[in-house]
Formats: sequence, C-alpha cells, structure tokens
Amino acid sequence: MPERHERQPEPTFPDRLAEDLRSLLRVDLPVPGEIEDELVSLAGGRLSRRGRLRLHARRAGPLAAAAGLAITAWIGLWWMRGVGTGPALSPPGQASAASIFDIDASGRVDVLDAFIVARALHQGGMTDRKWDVTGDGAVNRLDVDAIAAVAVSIVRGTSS
Amino acid sequence: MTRRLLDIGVLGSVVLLAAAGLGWTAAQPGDQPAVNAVFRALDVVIDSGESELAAYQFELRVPKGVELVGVENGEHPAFAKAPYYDPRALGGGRIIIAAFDTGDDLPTGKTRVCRVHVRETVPGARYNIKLTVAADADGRSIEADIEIHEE
Repeated sequence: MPERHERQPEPTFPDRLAEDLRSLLRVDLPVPGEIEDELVSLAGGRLSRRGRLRLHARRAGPLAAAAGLAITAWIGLWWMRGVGTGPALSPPGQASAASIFDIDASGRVDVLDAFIVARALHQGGMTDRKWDVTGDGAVNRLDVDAIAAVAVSIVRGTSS
Repeated sequence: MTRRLLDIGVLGSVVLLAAAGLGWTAAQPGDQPAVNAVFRALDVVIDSGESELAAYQFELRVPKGVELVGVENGEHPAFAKAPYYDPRALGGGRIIIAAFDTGDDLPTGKTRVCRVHVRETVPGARYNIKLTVAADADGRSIEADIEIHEE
C-alpha cells in the first residue's frame, strides 16, 4: 500500500512569547556620529572595490574568448603543419641541397643518402662529422635511420 | 552586451565540444555502415637485370577506396628486414618505401623487395607505382623496372 504524505499545518508562534523575546533582545545602544561615518565610508570603499572587480571581469570575458580562439588557431596550425613530427626540413618534395640530410648533395634526400653513411659505417671507413644529423656527437646507425626516415617521410617526402 | 558575447562564446564552445564528441562517436568502427572490404597483398617486384640491387626507393599511390594497412619485408635475405616507410602513410593513399643492404649477398634479376597490404572497398583498383631509386653496392644508379603482383 502506498504511503500517503499529508501536509501538516504550520506551527504557530504565540504572540505573547514573541513580544517577550523581542524586548529581551532589543539593544538600544547609541552609536557616535564619527564611528557611524567611519563605518559607512569603509562599507562604501568595499563596495566600490567590488565594482572595479566586476568591471575587470567584464573586460576579461572578451579577452579570454580571444585568447581561446588564438590558442585554438595555433593548435590547428601546429597540427596541420606537422610541427614536432620530425626535424626541421625543407618544404615537401623540395629538400634543398643545403639540407643536412642530403649527404650526396644531389638536391634531394633519398635512401642513397642513408646508404652512403651505412656503407661507410659497415666498411669501417672515414665518416664525416656532418653526417651526425642527430647531433649526439657520433656518426652511427641512429643517423642512418634518421636520414632514411626523412627520405620516406610523406609530410616532407622527397620523391620526384 | 559583453555578457551576451560571453554567453554566445560559452554556448559556441559547448556546441563545438558536443559536435566533436558526436563526430568521434560517429567515427567508431562499430557504427560505420557495412562495406564489402577485401584485404589484399601487393608484391612489389624490382627487376634489376644483371645488376645487383643494393638499394631501392619507390612511391606507391593507391586510388580512392583503397587504404594502405601494412608493409612487409622482401624475400631475398638482403631485404629480409622491414623496409623504411612513414607510419603516417598507413590509412592514407600514398606511401614511400625504401631499403638497402650493405652486405655482399645482393639479388639480381627479379626479386620481391617488399609486400604491401591494402584494404580495398572498390573493385578493380589500379595502383600507381614509381621507382625513384635503384642502386648497386657502390651506390651507383642502375637500370631497373618495378611492378606490382597482386595476390
């Protein structure tokens, strides 16, 4: 059986008791004029500070929106341009002759650049310090892999 | 006025987030309509004639409706290791693949240099492959042909 909830009547407060309590709690304390003025001026200062804060908050709204848009645009550009996905290179398909990965100075970076370094390492021959494309102070397999990675990159691909 | 701009900004952000969420949800594989997809392996064969093949690089483009899904090594010991390629190419329509070997045992004639796995959702897909580098053990460019054998 569902429980029924009936509204109870509000409790009443006897008038006599209320009057007695009021007379007990009433405080007729005179406040000197200077103190009252000081209190009013303090309250006024606090209120005006709140007003200034509200003004700042109003100005901050559009600024925050603009900053949000700028950050979003920057992230979008970063993502589209593939920043951070590889070393700084020439534009796609246009690896310049000056690229540090263009070992044979052919004007493009391809697997032959990696092959030259790999063959030199394999044969134990001379290596050029410029081949240290990773900048770790040594010419080794990491440089070969880095050059090959650039050669096959689809973002900065060098195939003609 | 400012309050209204703020409200519009907040509302726009919420709508964008909701749209992104819906897009992400819609992109879940389980929600995609069923497509008759066929997985195929493309054997990439280079014919270097009498020259020894020490290094190669080629570019493969696949048509719309075909997706690159994987790359495997070749058959000759010189190309037994997985070739170089950009993982970002998987799922796309263009890939550059390259490999080399500094050893003495190098293939001549026709050799499968690698195998490319694709997912086809259209029949009769035609592939565009271009050999950009073929070199011998000295790094000299050699004459060679490239072709795809579809399984």
